[in-house]
Amino acid sequence: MIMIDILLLFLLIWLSYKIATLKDIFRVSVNFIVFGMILSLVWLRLGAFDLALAEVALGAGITGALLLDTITFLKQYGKDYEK
Amino acid sequence: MKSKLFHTLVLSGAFFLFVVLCSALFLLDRFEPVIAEDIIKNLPYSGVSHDVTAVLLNFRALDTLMEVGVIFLALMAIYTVKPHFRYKPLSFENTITNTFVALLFPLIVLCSFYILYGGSYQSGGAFAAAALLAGGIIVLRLVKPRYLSDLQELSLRFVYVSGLLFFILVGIWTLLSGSFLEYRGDIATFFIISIESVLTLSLAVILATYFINAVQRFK
Amino acid sequence: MSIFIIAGVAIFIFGLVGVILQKGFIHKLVSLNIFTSGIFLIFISTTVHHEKADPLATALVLTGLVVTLGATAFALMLIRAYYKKRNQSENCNDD
Repeated sequence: MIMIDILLLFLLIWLSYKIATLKDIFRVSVNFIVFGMILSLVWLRLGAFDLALAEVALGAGITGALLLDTITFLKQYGKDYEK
Repeated sequence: MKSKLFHTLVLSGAFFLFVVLCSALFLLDRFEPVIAEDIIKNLPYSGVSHDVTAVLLNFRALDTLMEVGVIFLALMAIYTVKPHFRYKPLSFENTITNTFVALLFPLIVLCSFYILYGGSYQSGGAFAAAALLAGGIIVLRLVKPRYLSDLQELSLRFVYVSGLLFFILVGIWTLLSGSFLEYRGDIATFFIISIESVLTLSLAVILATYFINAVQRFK
Repeated sequence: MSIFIIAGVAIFIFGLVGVILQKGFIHKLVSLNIFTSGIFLIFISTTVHHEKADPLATALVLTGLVVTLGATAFALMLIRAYYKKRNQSENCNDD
């Protein structure tokens, strides 16, 4: 079981490194949604079941949808968005 | 370049901070679950059978009240910038998305109520159910915006306010015969289930309004 | 349990570096969310006993998650209003 833990945590650290260094906004948002889903699995491995339910619905669901909506808005009005 | 010096400074500071924090966290004493034993000892008097729900809605009910207050405050803050955006519905009528939402939305409502009422003896509770129901409302808005377009603004404002108002009224009711938000025994079960039901509906509509926050474009 | 602490600190450090070094508001906001998720991971992984999480810590982290969502939603609305006010006169046809 420790191999699953190591795999999940390595994926989490890799995703957070990519979020901190990428420049394209769409890739950052998709990485954030995947980060939320993998974090929900980590909560499951730690034994916090309420947190797993709430994280996948709030963190990866609603925050992800809000981010993608803002990106669509910025395509029209955000021509000078700094990269 | 100045930017390269800044980058290397930040990265070296980050590495140093990493070493300091890891060593500080590994030098902590072993964790003694003192409070968890107290919670399990007082669990039969709290009205529910699950420890996290009892902590959220009975032992630390004031924190949950403040949390609902913060969500409501964020909603009011979003309402101040809301009239700037107009909504242009861009969804085409499509067999795949129509069938998908017709099959999915009743399942979401059913799962949300199961999670809500299962919170008394297993994991779940009001917040996961509210988030799931908010996701269902967002999907409904994206595929079929006409179903939600003739809601009155006044009744929507009643729904926003009802969660926080019911919680505060229960607190004032228990203030008359004890402390604010203190209940135990059988009356606690009734209070907790009623607070959770009203809170789920109200929070689901508020969380969906975080997404659907544009003024309708009037033809 | 100790690898969870190392991963939590690493996510915390990456979130902090992202907030400082990224240009652009939405990158900074997403890095801030990662930062708070790292703190929650440290908080839960230090209070695990008997293969279950501590109920008090779980309740506090649940409250923190929902408050972070509210703050993120408001910040995104402010970013939208800011960019709309700046670039409104260029391609404004009926707003």
